[in-house]
Amino acid sequence: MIKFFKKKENSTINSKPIAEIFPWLTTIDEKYLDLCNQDINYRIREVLSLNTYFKSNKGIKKLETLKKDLISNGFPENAVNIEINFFLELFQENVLFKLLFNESAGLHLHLKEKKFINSIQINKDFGIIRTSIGKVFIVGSSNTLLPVLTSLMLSYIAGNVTVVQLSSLHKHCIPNFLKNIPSELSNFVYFTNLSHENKDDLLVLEDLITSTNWNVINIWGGNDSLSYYNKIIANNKNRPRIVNMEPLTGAVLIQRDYFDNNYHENIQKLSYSIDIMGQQLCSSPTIGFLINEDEDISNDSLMKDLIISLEKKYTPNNHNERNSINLDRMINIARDNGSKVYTSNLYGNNICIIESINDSVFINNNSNNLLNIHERRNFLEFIRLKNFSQIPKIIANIFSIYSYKETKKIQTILSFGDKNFDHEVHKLTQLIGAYRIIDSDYVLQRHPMETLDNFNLFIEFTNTISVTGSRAENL
Amino acid sequence: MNTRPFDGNGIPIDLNESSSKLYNDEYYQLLKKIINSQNLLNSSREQTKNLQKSLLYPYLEFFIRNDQNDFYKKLFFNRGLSKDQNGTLKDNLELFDLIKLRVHSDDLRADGQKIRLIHEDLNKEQGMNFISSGTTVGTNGPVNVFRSNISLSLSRLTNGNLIDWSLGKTVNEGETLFHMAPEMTNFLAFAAIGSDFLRDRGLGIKFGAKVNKGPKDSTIWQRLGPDIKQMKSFFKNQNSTKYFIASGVGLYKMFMEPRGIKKLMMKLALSAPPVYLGEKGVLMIGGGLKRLPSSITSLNQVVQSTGDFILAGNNKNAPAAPVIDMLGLTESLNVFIGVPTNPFSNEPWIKFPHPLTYTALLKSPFDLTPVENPKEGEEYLLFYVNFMTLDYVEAIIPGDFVKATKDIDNIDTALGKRNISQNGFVYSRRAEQNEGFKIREGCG
Repeated sequence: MIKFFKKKENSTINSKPIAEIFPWLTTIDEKYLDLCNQDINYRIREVLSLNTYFKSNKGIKKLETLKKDLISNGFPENAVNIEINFFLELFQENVLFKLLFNESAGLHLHLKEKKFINSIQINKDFGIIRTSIGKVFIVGSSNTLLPVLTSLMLSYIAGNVTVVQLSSLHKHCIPNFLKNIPSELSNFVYFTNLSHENKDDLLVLEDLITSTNWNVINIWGGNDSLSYYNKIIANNKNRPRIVNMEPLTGAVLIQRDYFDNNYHENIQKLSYSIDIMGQQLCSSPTIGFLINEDEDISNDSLMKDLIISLEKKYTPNNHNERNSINLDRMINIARDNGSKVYTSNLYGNNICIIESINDSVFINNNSNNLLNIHERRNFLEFIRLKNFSQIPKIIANIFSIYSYKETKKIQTILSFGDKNFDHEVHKLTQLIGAYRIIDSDYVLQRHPMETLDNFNLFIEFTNTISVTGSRAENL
Repeated sequence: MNTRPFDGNGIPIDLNESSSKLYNDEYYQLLKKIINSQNLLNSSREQTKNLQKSLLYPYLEFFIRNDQNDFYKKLFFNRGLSKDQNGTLKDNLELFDLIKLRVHSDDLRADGQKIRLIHEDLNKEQGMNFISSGTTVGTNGPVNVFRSNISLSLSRLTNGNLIDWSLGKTVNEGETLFHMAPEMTNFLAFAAIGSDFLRDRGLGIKFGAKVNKGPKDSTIWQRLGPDIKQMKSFFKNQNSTKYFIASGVGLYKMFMEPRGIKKLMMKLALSAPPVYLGEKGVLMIGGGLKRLPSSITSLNQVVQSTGDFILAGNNKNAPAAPVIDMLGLTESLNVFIGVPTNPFSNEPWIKFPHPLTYTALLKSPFDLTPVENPKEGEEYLLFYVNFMTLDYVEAIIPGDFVKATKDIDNIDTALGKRNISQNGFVYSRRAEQNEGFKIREGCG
């Protein structure tokens, strides 16, 4: 009986054409044609004009509403403020131009007299035409606002019709925010309004992904989310370009004498890097390496000063009783296996720095089912080493343990070292396939000329047409 | 020869403690002397504290002396209790320093206890493994604790002392029905230890459940069914002192869940309810809310509903039998015992530790500092150290929240006044896995 009803329920959904659920699907190709006929510079100017709008009373009010909505959904206020401030930077000419005319990606070739030129002749027998790509489907994650908004804006500027699947936490506030802003963006951006928690919605989502000839699908999410979407996308016969933004993490590398030359400032920088956004960014250092040939150097005061610096930034954020118990178990494992454990006099285990020798203490000791990097804050294990040689092996091993559950690899290396040290860092980065080497200012920030985990989103959202031989003369 | 008392199940009758390597250890002898020379439960709170303090160094030295592979020497050093890795203890250690040795119950799941045991290769005849019910989700399996015969001998003595204290008399006669199967005394601490000391005192023991045949891959819990014959025999018995020992879920399934025909059939089969426990009969319960439906939020609800059916007498006009609720943990050698309470009373159910169990209330899971003067009614995290456990340092954070009680020297119970040798607590809840805001992975 139950099965019968279930079948009937499913078939009802399946029998409803997807275009009835999303009427915009019937006009999506016409909309794309409209965009193709529009000059990209029109959209660039339009987006830049939002800079003025967000400074106006109306714009400020809209931002305030967004902020309130996000906070009421459980986002910490400081995180919301940081994200909104970064979001507003997108509308500044110097930032947007660096994104669109990025020298590191070769996009600067499209810039002439502050305008985007689609067709460019590189030399006599070669040139390119950069065009929009068509239909872009973006999946946003629930953690941060900025990635999905950046993707959406760049896709719109590139001239695509963009469809966005938002997390339930953003499902209402982002469409509300974009509605009625002085831009044609809302004519070309659609929201699915589907919820992952609803089984019927999931069926619709699968149908939408597999039955539409998407050109690009850009997924921001954790491991589960990426696996889920990639499995579905495999059934799309059009083989859309997939832009996966994987769950990654960061590592910090310290050369003691370099660090000590500017000790107090570096302590501040290091603690900022650990504290910012609850240590949950893909670039947040979650493991550290103290590299020094001299084995007698004590790191005691460095650890203690780091704890004190973290205490100054600390805001209580641990409300999970079981996690706290698991945190204590994890710390006990470190203590019992000979690592030095430093905790806060003020906040106990909630700030914890561990110093292990030659390897992570959690590799050979059972820390299964304890805490992974997504469940802990202000927690960092430093591994003390004589040189760089062991780091690739240690890093390869840590991703096999529960602590780094579902995290793919190191994205970012935060370096505190001199030129020679950094040269070693460059080699290490190549070996482990990391994407960024940064100073502490760039734990949260991205330089506009950076790729995002090797993707330049604007390039991913466009089509590059090569024009070769004598055809190049006609560009 | 199988010396296990319940059809080959349970704690052996002869624990043969004198054959243990630890028998002649000075700490074991000291414990025996203390337990045998005085009724510790008649001590004042101050005397208990002094006794515990006096055992602190002997207790730690016992583990250093009997250490295997230097585990405890290293542990005491790494946890800040000794000056070096040779086991030189720091001066002026206090009872609250024991928190540094804390073991979370989850650390005792699967093979977690093994590394902490001071024994080398004890065989099945020299001890028993106790296993929790495995109801806590997201863990490595059930809590699994080995107890040597020598520790079990102390458990037999001191749990007996606790029940004597709670009932206000030396328990040495009567009939007992455990609402569980005899096979469960092979691994379930509450069943094994409870049945052991009552049997040892000469009481008759019956088991109201049996393990039925079932598929090979089924658990003992899934194959558990009532043993009508045993129950009926217990209920019919006219003994004036009967102890009915059940879990909350056992009571619920017997007296609250059956409706209509089921209820009628049960009545026909058992001639109960009501259950007549005789004039001096007592209902003893344990197991908390495990396996109870979510509509039941406290055991009080269960005993209030069953109070009219479990009577201290042999006729319908008899009063409701007093209830003693016990907190029995797999990872605790002793139960934390309640006092006899009228099932309809709204008095909080205070649990008391044995005086040789040092109990501290910790601020919270976020701050594991022992609180010197806990406030009555406020919730704290439970921590205890059992000075009688000779197998490993039983310094446990079970992950349970309890509420502090006021400082009192004695307590009125349904069966008279009792001296208080150490402050008790009121069980509150398990630590929660609440989600809160989490910035998830994959954020760029």
